Amino acid sequence: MTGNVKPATTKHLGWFAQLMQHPHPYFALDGGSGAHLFAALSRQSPYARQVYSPRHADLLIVVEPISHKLVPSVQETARTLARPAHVLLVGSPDRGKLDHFSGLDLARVEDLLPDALHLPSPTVEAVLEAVLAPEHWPELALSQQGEPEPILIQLPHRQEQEIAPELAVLSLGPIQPLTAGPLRLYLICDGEQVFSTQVEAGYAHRGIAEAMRQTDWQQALVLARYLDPLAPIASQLAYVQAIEYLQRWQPPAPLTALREAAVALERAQNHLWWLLRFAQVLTDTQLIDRAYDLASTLAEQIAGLWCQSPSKWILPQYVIATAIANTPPSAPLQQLASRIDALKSAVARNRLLALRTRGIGTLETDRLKDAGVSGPVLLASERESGDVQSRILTRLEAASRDTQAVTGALESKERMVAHAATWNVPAGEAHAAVEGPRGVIGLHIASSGGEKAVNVQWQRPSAVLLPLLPQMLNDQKLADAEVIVASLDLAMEEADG
Amino acid sequence: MNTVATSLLVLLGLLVGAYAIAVLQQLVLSGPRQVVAAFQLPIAQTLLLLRQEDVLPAGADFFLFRSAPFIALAVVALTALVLPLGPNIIGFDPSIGLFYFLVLLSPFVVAMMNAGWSQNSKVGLFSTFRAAAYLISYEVPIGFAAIGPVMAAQSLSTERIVQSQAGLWYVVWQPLGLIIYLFAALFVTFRHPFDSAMAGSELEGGVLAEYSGPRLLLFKVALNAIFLLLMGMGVVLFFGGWQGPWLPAPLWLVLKTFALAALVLWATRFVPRLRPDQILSLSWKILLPASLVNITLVGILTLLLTGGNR
Amino acid sequence: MSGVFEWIMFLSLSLVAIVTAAGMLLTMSMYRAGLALMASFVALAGLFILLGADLLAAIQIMMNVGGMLVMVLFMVMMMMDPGGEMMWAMKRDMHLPGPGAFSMHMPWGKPAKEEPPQQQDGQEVEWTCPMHPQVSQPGPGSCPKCGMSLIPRAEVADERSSHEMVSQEQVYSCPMHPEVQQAQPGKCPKCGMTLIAVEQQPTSHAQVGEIATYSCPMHPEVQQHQPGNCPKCGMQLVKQEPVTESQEVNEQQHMAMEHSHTAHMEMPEDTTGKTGHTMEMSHEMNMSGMTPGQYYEMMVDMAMSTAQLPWAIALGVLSAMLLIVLVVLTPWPLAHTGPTQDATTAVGELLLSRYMIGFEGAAFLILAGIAGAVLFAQRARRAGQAQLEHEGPVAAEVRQSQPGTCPKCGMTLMSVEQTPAAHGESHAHGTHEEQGDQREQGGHV
Repeated sequence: MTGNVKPATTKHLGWFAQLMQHPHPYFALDGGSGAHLFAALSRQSPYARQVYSPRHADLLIVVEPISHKLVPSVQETARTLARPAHVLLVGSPDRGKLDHFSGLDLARVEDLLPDALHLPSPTVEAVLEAVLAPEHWPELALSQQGEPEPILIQLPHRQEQEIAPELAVLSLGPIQPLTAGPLRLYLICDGEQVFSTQVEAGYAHRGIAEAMRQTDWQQALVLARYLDPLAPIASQLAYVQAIEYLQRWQPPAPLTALREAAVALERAQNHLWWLLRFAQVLTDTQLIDRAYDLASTLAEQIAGLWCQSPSKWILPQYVIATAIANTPPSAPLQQLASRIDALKSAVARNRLLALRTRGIGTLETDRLKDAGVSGPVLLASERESGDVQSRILTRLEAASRDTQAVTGALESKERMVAHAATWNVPAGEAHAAVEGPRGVIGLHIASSGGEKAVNVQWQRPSAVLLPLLPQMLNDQKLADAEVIVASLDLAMEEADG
Repeated sequence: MNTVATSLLVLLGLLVGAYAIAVLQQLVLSGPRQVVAAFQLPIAQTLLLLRQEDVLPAGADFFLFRSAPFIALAVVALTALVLPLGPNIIGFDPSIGLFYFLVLLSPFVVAMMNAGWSQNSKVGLFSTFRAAAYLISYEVPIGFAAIGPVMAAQSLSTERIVQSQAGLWYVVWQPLGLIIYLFAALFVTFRHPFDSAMAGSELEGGVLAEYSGPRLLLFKVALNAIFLLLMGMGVVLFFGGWQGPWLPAPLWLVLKTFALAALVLWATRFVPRLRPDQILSLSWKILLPASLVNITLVGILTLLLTGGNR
Repeated sequence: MSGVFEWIMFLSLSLVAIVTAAGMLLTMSMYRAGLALMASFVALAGLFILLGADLLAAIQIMMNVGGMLVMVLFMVMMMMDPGGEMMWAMKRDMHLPGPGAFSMHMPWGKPAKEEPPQQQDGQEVEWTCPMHPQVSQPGPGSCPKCGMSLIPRAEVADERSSHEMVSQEQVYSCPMHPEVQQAQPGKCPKCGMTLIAVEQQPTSHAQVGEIATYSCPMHPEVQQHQPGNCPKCGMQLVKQEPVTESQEVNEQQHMAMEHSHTAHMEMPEDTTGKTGHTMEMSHEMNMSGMTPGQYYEMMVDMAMSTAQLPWAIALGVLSAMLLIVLVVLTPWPLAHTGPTQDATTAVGELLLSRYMIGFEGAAFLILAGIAGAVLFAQRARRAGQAQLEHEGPVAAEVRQSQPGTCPKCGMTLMSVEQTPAAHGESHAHGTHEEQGDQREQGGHV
């Protein structure tokens, strides 16, 4: 959604209309693609405010896709909403196409919640309008309160048995504000200290790799984009690069630079929205304001930048002769980069923020490397201390660098020869790696020259972080554990594949 | 009749005060661009909560879940009585008005704890324990901070404390006491940055997670009103209460109270939410020694300034 | 204040004080008892205000709210059943005598879910009441005798059938009573805790070839070789280990035996007192199945809910009568003047001078309490390294000892910590939602 979301300007409702305005505290149920949407929505209007307990909300915003594993949570949340309540289903432009893929493991939320208002388009403006619109929505029916599902967890192992009666199992999630997407964390706590952790993932599992093996190359592009809905360009680029490698076609340098620019901007965007979500977890109002400012400015500039969205022109062997980017607004981008730098130094100096972020969440660099971690988490651990604060700084630095670096690519006036997209893929094996916002997204495809890929394997950066969570969270205080999870920027759709 | 009228007035005043604090908070939060929204939003939220279904979670503790919001509101109403609004305008003037005020703050936090306990959920329980820890930690600092003005005025009566500030406001020579008092006030009212017992992103809503509808409204009114009352008492203790030229006395009190509240709300913008153990360290390791130092200083200064007579 | 108003206030405050004090006696929830005591004192403080003794009222509130709160906190920390649910469930299920007012509307322990057990191999499913096993219906509903929700009888038979199955079958057990095993999720019949899933080891069915004995948690003399319901109280019988039948039934021994036989849950060999605490009580309260330490603890717990023990009731009533007699006969001198403004000052001076020892005693007690809590707070840290095993996060039945990717879904396998003890078992199963479990197997892409 990053390439084509138009950020909404603050809605200035007339004072009379405001008198009639009803507030709508909403509960965000994110299937995994909605992180940026909710981040952007959060500061638009004080009438639409995110709450974290379904009882306080009168609106449930569900962002598709929802996997089958998440369905009980959706139903439970819908049941616990205090009536009168409404449900808003936010889809995505590709959602319709995704229905064609039989291999994908998605639930039809329209059937689950027939009283929902369905919004197929994901622009923030549209969602905001729907949220603030007067009530012509159908109301969610009062359903019978059922017996809550007994929670199944693993038994703690031997050493924990000794103090087992003293331990409490706190189950966070699967809908929680710490990750972008559903993840269930069982924190076995001794009071405020986490004794051990169990992670239950898979709530956003859609089976992208398998589905890609079952459809042809062109349609698999849609699926590739859907691997990480928060960073679709990176995964799309990985796919395209792998295909071009098999086709033995080298893209011209300007095209490579443009593609790299698109990915870099997406990375910066992701870092800034992440910072906003992180600040919301900590409720640091000042940081929230500044992060939102930067993130929405960048979104505006990106939206004004491309003539066509990158998802349309990142195709195998596809070159268009006309300009892809508008006259590049290099000055605003440079300005933005310097503002990001300013924020970075402000965060580094902020002693109060350091109280909550310094010194927690470290893991040895070697361990991270062995596990295959890449991206800002590894960088922070290599260059600096590897704690939460260093991750914030690393991401801000990366965002600033990325924003600055694109100006070179965008300003180049080299003409390229047009070339159509080619979808014939000869036999062979290819491996592509693209630096995404959370780490390196790797793709390994094998082709036999036919219509479909023989083997598709993704290396997903958030997925390797999940097994490390227990080590990072054990023996931490509960509040610190939450901050650590939030600092890892886990995108569950990508992690679950 | 007088009593009934007073009590009704007090309740009305509390409602208006809670509304005003909500407006103030919204203004501070979103800035001057959304002024109309700031004024309209609390009313709209009130109407929303009144319309909302009143959900009783299965297995909630029968008495505690239902009584907690009422206890909170009752405490707030009782504490409002000893705030002196003018030279002789006070609801209830025992000779120990200030003591009475501080003492009645504890049942308020107990009400919040009950709310968390009675929800029959684990996150509620965690939040309850946090609230209990904060309850024990705020009592001593607030007591010691308030002792400064008591020593200076040599009385626990709020009227006399105000009157004895006719010459010089206490904030001038007891600034440390004011700061400690403000910290403790934030503890009691579960305000950011000390709101980890009831914040949303922490433990799915904390003590108020399972409340909805009118009960939640009562809680919110009680929280805002007690914040207002604590700021009012801060003004009485340190800023001379209703004293001031030209304008009628109650207006001065109101203005000063809102000024102090705005200042406090604005200052909390810059702080992330503190961890529970950091809050406890703040209270026991920093505020408590500081309040002891404050008492020593105030004692010395009192002897010097008032000559130690009486 | 006018006379009528004063009378109204006096009567209502006194009523509140008496009613909450009675509630404190009668309730089985420790938390509620502490709060009721607080409320009673606050009402007394109101009476003090009516008498014009404001300082006393304020001191009353300050000390009692804070003090009762600390008491409640310690009760919640140290005692087993601070909310009173266990006691209430016991009282309800076993029809214990004694008043239980103000304990009503406690969270009910609901019986096992009425899921038609489709995953069992096509047995006839009867629905029966946990308390009245003679009730039998073809479908779910309520028991005509007591109104409780019916549970499928098949789950009882399933216990035996599940032994023969080499299982991926899910067995549910209570964290505190590992001998309780059911094939359905639900609540433990002994303590009411929600059952959690346990991995069934194919090799560990000790009962292959042996006959298991089933006994009632409350009537240990009832022994059967079939699963079923206890003829005395109707509770579901739990499997006992045949080895320990002969000796004195020590819960810790249970754990040790199960540790080697079934090996599905590891319990320490040391007696920590809390683990394995059961509520094996009959009306005579014999000590079946408990060590003396556990029995004592249980007694202490029950003494907290005063109304359940006759001697505690007697003690309370005697003390109350003594106090009333003292107040009425007033063997100490009283000043016969009305309260004046100076009275509060006089009382204050009195408190500070003569009765300061009371405050100091209280302060000392609080300090002792804090010291004790700090000592208790030392915990043995986990010792020893764990040998890492890896499992698939989504399909938890996938296990291997090297890291890699799950063959089903391609996700990176997560490590599961395992003890170095050579039981070869691990605890990874059960990370699925139980409802979606069956669907997971089928719908897994």
